[in-house]
Amino acid sequence: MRILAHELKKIFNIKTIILLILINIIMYFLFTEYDINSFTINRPSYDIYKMFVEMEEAYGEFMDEEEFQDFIIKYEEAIKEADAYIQSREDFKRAGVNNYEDFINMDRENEDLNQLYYDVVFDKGIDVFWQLPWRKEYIKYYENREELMLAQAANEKQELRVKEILDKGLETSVFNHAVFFNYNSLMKSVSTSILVSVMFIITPIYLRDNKDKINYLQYTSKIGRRIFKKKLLAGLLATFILVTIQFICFFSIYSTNNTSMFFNKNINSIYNTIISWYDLTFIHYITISVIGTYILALAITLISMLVSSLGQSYIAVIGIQLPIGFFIIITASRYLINYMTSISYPKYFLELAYVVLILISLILMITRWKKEKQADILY
Amino acid sequence: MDIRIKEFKKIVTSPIIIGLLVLFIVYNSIFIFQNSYFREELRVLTRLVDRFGYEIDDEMLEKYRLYYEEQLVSLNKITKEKTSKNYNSMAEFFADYKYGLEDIYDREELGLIMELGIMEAYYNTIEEIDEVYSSLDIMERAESEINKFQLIDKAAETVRNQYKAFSERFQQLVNNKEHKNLFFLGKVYRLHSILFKSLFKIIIFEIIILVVLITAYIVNYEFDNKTEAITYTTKRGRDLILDKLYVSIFSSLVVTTIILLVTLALYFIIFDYSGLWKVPISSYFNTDHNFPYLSWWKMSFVQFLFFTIGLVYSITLLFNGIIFIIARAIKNTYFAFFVFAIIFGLFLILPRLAPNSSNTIFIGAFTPYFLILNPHVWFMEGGAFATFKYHEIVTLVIWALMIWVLSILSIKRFKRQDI
Repeated sequence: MRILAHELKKIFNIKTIILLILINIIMYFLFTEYDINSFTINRPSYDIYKMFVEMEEAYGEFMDEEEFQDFIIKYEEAIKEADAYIQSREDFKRAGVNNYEDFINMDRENEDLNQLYYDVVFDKGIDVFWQLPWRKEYIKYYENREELMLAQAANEKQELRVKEILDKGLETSVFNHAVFFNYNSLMKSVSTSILVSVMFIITPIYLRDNKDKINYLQYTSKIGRRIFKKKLLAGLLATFILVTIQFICFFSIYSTNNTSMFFNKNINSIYNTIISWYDLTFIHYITISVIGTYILALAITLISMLVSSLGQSYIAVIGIQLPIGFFIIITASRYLINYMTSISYPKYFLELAYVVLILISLILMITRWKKEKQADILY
Repeated sequence: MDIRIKEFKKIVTSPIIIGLLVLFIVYNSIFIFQNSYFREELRVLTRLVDRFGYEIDDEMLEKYRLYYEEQLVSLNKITKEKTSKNYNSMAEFFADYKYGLEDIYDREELGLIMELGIMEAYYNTIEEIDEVYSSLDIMERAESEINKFQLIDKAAETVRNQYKAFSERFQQLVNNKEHKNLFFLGKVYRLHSILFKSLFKIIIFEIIILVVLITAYIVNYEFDNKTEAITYTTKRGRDLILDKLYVSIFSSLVVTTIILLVTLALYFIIFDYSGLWKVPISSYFNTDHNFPYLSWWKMSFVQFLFFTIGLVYSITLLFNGIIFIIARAIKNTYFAFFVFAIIFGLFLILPRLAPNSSNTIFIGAFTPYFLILNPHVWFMEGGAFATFKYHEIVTLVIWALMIWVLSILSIKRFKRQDI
């Protein structure tokens, strides 16, 4: 145990921690901050979010026919509100625009009318004018939901899955792409930060001692070559601690986006942009992506340790780690963390990819340990 | 002298540096091949330029039109035979055939069809030039840039002043007819973006990685191998650091040359620019997004290319200096590498803290870190932060001076350091 504690201390030394914090701050501001801050600013996604919060309060988990009728009534009320706003303005009256109907049919080639349109939608940013097109769109979605869902299936298996969703009626789930897309792009940048941090702390783990030839001393001690395994354990533990801390930080920041009311909503909604192989709710999806990131971090830990135990100098190790890290991070954020369990991938693609990743890194490290156990010491 | 050769050998024989160099070149080649699916179509313009020259004037346009009509007649002969239809333009022709061209026409005829389609696209673009440029308002562009970054007060005023100066150059550009030159159609092929935005950015990042590794490796070599105490006691002693600096500069230039030479050679073999080297870079055809590329000086494509390469070399030297100072200060190569990356990140983030009302916001644009992110608008109008006339040169001079002074200080400190 004491050796483990010392190894952990070596991994988390003060210089490493300072650099680690700096790296994370920079990555946060370069990649993550935008999706956190812009969530409540971006239009129309924030309008869509507000609309769905309202819907969630009124309709609960799913939207049935009756609630849909209510949604249509809401749409008509919103039109009335827009009408009232238009009629309250003198300049619209002068331009001959009397209601919302006229407003959307306005000839925007005309400079003055275009000016008016810009004033309402962009300069003043009146909410109802942002919501209305989407309300109309969503009514259309709901009415044609079966066709729209089926249109997304490209082959038979996908079609079967879509039909299954339609049978269960999951497509009417009150969940939207604004929240989902935001979470997805956040997850990509967060997992990137996590993987970079893990590589940063794990890579020196064996090299630090090998470079100074301390490993020869360690091997002659009572614990002997088993210290290799202790270091391995310390590395895995360090990764686990680091990833957990980073996730705690991230989710406490993410909670300011206020999406908890959608946690128990099914993601296979007609208003969302993913069709999953499984009946996942949003909190399930979040859990899966967190587990996925843990597995990726684990795999990258093992690979980094392998490189670390083979490398002779820091330069060599950095040189090897750069392309490996680049490759893993690009693949992860493109296929392994992005739109997980989507039917655009083959059904067991995700599970297989993760299993293969773990197996490869484990096998590599086990062979490395077997070799290390018998390696001659040449000096 | 001998010691420098020995130092250089350390780099040349390092499998990591060589391995990365090879890997990077392979990556660049893959990138070029991935974007080369339209290379056959580019030949159409090369042939047209052979026939008419690239300068667009009334006489050339007349010849072009006649040639085009001649070709259209020969196409109509074929179509009449096969489908008994006549076409006045290729747009009309393609409207008829969305699919299934291959079923009706043989290979040779398809070639003619493709060539005519492309000819017509160029012809239409030539015709729209005057209209586009008469409605192009540089000051409007300034306002939209100011809006985009929400600049106010002095900062906004600075941007307006830059663009005011630029609009004079724009007038000159139009009077010179720099925009009226045939070039590969940017809106379709986006070659300017492929070459100067993507490829050069990749190249620069690769060079920086190699420069960082080489310099950190060689500067900290003695410390990594615990031989510093021995080298200090030799006759050359701590002057060795100077040798190391020179060798790192030399090696950086060598890897830069290798990457640039191989990548660009491959690029220009794949994409045939013959006959177009001297076309002004500000040609309207070069436009690949909604605003044309407008250079500050009258530059041909090949001049622009060489200036860009020159700037890449200069930036390589700057980064060499920066990493030399960092590696000298931080003995641990691993940390030195990450400190370099962190400083890089800080220079991208910190400028955001500057208030959007004062001129301090522009300081962030005068760093090599900012420069390497936008190689496609070097020496050009480049948005709110990069439209200063001497933007690149000022950055280079300021940073070169700063790094020079810091390096001298760093070396002096090194020489008096306690063991």
